[in-house]
Amino acid sequence: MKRGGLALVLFFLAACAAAPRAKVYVSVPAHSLFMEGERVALIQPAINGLDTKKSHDLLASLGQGILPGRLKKAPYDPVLAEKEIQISSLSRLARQVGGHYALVVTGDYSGKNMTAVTQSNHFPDYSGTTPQRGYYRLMSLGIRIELYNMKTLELVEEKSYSRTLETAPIFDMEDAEKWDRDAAFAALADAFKNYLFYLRGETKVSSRTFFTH
Amino acid sequence: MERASLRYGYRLYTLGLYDEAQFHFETLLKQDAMSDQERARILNNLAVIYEMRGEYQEARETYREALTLDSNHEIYENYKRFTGGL
Repeated sequence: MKRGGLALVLFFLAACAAAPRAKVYVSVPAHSLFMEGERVALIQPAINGLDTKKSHDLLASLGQGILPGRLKKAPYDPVLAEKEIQISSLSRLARQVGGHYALVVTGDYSGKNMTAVTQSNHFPDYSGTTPQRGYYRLMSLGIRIELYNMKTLELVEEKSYSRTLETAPIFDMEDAEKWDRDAAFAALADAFKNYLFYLRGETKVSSRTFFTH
Repeated sequence: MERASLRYGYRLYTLGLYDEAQFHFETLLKQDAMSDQERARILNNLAVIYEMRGEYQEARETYREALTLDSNHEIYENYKRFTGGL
């Protein structure tokens, strides 16, 4: 009888050890600024020097990932690209995608060459014995994100983000503008992602099934 | 697919080595001789890693891909929790 019981316990332990799945925990949003079912219309961004459609696509894809089903890309309006954003234009564009809120992103970026004195016999020049003058490129991006309530037509909040990115000490000046643009897109994505996480609200831990065989 | 392969990926995940775990599962997916069920399980694990890293767009697509291969209720439960923010 005792042996039978022991065998049962051992069998149970073996079964547990070979369990085909495990519970793991991930952080997920607990609440957000919005009510259930409310949507945010993403208006085309206006970043000086950056392609509007490309920026719009980038921000929309980030939004769909972080706020799935909540963030809707508003249609492109060529007239809006030419003039200052009006609340009436926002209302019209937001309505087209059923947005209860509208998100407006504006800003600009710039790039410049910088000089830096590197240590002797260090990267990028290992042959020298005296400090070398190095060149690098610095890109600065500043954006302002405004959230409008489309029911009350009021500005709910306004947030500013700035990012800087720089190259390694040796820099090919021919590619400067292209590098600035790419860096500005990367910085824009990072800043907007940051805002979306803020917008989404706090997180809490939730369990997921993870297969182990 | 060897049982050890998924366990190894799980081990990497529990150690917080998400890049390595992702790479491991992506490599497993490249194997030809694999049933849809096995593929779906790997995709589910990948989706959990994406979620853990905050890559929600990829997580959503990967869950959906897994569910098209196998309508496993555990994968569906994971997806439901993911989309519902639970």
